[in-house]
Amino acid sequence: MIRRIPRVVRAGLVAGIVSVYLCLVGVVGSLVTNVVGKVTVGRVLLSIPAILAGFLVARPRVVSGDVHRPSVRAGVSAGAIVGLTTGALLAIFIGVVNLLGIETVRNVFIAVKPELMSLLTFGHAGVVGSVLRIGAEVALGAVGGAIGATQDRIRVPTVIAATVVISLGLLRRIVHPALAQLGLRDDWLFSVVTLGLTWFGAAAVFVVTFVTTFAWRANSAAIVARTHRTPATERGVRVVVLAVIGAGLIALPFLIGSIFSQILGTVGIYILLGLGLNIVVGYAGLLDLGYVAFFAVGAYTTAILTGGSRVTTTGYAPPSFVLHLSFFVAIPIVVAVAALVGLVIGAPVLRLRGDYLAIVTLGFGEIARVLFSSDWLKGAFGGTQGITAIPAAPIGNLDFRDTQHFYFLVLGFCLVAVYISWRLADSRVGRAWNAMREDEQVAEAVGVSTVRYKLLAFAMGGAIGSLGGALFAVQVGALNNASFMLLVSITALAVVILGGMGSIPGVIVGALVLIGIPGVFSEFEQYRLLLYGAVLMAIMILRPQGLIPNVRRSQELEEEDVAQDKWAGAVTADEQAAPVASPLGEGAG
Amino acid sequence: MNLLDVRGVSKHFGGLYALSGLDFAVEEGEIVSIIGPNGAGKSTVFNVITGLYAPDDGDVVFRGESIVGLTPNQITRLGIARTFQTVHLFPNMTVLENAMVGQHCRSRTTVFGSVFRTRAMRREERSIREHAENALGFFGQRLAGYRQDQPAFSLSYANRRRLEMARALATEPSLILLDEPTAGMNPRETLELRDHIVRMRDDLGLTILVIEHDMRVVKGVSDRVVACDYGQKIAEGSYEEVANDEQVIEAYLGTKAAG
Repeated sequence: MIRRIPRVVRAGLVAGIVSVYLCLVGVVGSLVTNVVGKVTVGRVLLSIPAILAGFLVARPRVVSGDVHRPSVRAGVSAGAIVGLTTGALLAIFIGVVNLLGIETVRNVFIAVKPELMSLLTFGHAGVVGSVLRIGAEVALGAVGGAIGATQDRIRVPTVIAATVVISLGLLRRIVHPALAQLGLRDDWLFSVVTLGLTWFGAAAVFVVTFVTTFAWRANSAAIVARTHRTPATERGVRVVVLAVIGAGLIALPFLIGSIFSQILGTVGIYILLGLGLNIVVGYAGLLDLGYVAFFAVGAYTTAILTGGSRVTTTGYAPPSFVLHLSFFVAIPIVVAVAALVGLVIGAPVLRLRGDYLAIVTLGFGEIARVLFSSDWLKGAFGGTQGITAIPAAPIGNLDFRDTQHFYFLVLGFCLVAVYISWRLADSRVGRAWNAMREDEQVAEAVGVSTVRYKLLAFAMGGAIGSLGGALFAVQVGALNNASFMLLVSITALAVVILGGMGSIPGVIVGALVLIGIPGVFSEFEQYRLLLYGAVLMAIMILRPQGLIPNVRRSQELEEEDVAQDKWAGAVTADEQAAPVASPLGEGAG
Repeated sequence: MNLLDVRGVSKHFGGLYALSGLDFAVEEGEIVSIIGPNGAGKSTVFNVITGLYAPDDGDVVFRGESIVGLTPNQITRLGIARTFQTVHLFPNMTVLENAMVGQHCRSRTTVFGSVFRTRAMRREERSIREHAENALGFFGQRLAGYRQDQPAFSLSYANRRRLEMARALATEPSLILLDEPTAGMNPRETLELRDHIVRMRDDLGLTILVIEHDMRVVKGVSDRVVACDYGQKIAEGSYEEVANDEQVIEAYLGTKAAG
C-alpha cells in the first residue's frame, strides 16, 4: 500500500509529520533565540524537514549498478512536490487548530500558542496563511532539491557553509564574548538588537566558508602531498597542529568566560565517565547500566577523605569517618576504592552476559544510590541531605574552585585518562578484552582468563569513572542522592554509543554533543531527553558504528587497496622468479 | 608414555548420553583421527578435554596429570590448543591480532606495563608479534602480507579456517585438537590442508588429534584411527583395520535387514 505512493510524496509526508510533531512538542514555538536577523531557532528547525526531504529525494540514486543523477531542474521540481506535500500537511494542521479553536487544542498540546500559529501562517489569518505556509514549504523543498541535485563540488561547500552560518548564529553567546576578549569588533557580524547574526554578517560568513571549502576540496590533494613530502615536513605539520590544539585548549576558558567554562568542566567529567565506561562496554563488551555507582563512589569517597560535613537538623556535623587530606593525596585512595568496588560488583556477575548483565548492573547502580542516601548509613554519608562543604583542590594559591581554573584540573585528569585508555587499547590487555568482547567462550579456549579480565575491566573502568566523581565533588562542593540518578548511567552510555564503541575520540565528541549542546543552548535544556532519543535513533539507523569509529581500522580499510595491489605485484614477481610446486603436487595421488 | 589419556569418560545432557565410558590414548608425536557418524560424541570429547564441559565420570590425563576441573584457559596454557567445528574467530580484530591473542597465555604484561610501556613490555610485545607472524607464516602466503592487517571477517572461508589453526599454533601447544578442519573446503584446499596437518607434526613436532569426515584425509594423515558410536569406542587401529571393521561399517551404513 505505502509502496504505491510515489517516493517524493512519501518523503513529503514524513517531513510533514515531523514538522507537525516539532510544532506540537513546542520546539518551533518556544526556541526564540534569533539565529540570523529575526529568524529564530524554532523557524530554522521548522524549515529543516522540508529541505532535508527535498535534498534526499534529489540525491543521485544507484539503480542496478548505474548512478542516476537527476538534473538540477528535476531536483527542484521533485523538491517542490515534497514541499507541497509537507505544506499540505501543515496546512491541514493549521486548519484543524482553527476549526477546533486554539484553546481546545492547548488543553492537550500546551505548546500550541497563538505565537506558534502566527509563526506558521506568517501572521495572516484563514486561507491566506495556509497558502503562504504551503508556498514557503514548496520553496524550502525546492531549495533542498536543488542542493541535492547539484554536483559534489558545489553541494558540499554549500552544506558546510550553511551549517557554519547556523552554528555561528547559535553560538553567539560564546563567540561574542570571545571576540570581545580578543579586542575584535563584531557589530558587523552580530546584531545588537536581535542578538542573532546580521544578514550582512551571515552572507559574509557563508561566502568566506564556501570559497575556503571549495578551494580546499579542489587543492587538498596537492596541499597534503606537499606537507607529507618528507617525514620531516610531516612531523613538522603534526607538531604545528598539536601546538595549535594545545594553545587553543589553554586559551579556551579565558575566551569563553566562566559560565561556559563550567559547562566544559561538566563535559570533561562526562568524558571521564565515558572513557571509563568505554573500557567496560567498548573494550570488554560488558554492558553496564549501573555505571553511576562508580561516579557516586568517587564523589562520596572524595568528600569523606578531604573533609566534607554532614548536614543535620542542628547544623553541620562531621561524618562518622572523616579525614582532612588534600584532594591530590586523596585521589589515589579514591581510585583504589573504586577499583575495589569494581571487583565487588564484578564478582557476582561473572557468569552473566548481555541483557542479564545489563539488568543486574542496572540494579547495582540503584543500590549504590539508595545506600549512599539511606538512613542506615546516615552517619557516614549524611542520608538524603548528603554531604556539603567539600573542600576545593588546592595547589599553592590555586584552589580550582573558580570554573576557569577547574577547567584545567578537569583537562589534566582527562589527558591522563585518555593516555591510559589509549595505551591499554593497544596492548596485551586490550587484545584480551577485545577477544572477550568478540567471543567470550573462544577467548577462554584460546587462553584468556575471562574471569580475571572481566574483573580487571570492571576495576579499571570503575577507577577511571571515579575520577569523574571526585571532580564532581570538587565542582559542586555538595553531594546528595539527586546527583546519582539512573540518568547518569544512561547519559554515559549514550556518550560511548554516539561516539563509537571503543573509540577514544568518539567519547570526547559524544560528551561534547550530548553534554555541551544542551549546556550551551540553555533553551534546549527542556528538550535534552528528546535530543538524546533523536540522536541515538539517528545514530543507530544511519551510523551504527558511531560518529568516530575505531580510526585505525577505517584507515586501514582505505589503504587496503594500495597494499593489496603492492602485495599482489610482489607475489607475482616472486612466482615468476622461482615457481613454487603446486600444493596439489604428488599428494593428489 | 602417553601424552593424553582419556579414561572412561562419560558425559550426558539430560537423558542423552553423549559419551559413555570412552577410553583412548594419544602418544607423543602421533596423529590420531577420531571418526564416527553424526552424534557419536566426537565434538563432546574435545569439549571435555579442553575443559568446556566437565565430565560426569572418568578422567582426562595430560602428561601424567589429571586436567579435569581446570578452566579452559589453564588447559590451553598447559599446551592443548584446539579449533572449532564451526569457525570461531574474533571477526572484528585483524588477522594478526587474532594470532596475537593466541600468544596471550605465553606472555605476562599487565596494566602497569601496558600503560607505562616498560622495556620488558616492549620486548614482550615484539616477541608476541614475532610468534604470531610465525604462526601465520605456517600457511605460507595465505595469511601473509597485507592480509595480516585486515579484519578477520574479510577473509575467505578457507582462510578463516587456516587463521583459526594459526591462532591455535600461536598458543605454542604440544597437542592440537582439530575439529573437522576440512569441513566446507573444496578438494584442492582439502589436499593442501592434509599436507599442513602432516607438517604440523613433522616440522613443528606437535601431537595431533583430529576429528575428520573426509576419509581421504583420515587415510592420508592418521597413524591410528579411533572409531566412535553412541559415545563409545567401537574400533581402534590403523586406517585399514578400522575401515574394514564390521561394527564401523554397520555404524555408518546400518545393519543388513535380517533374512
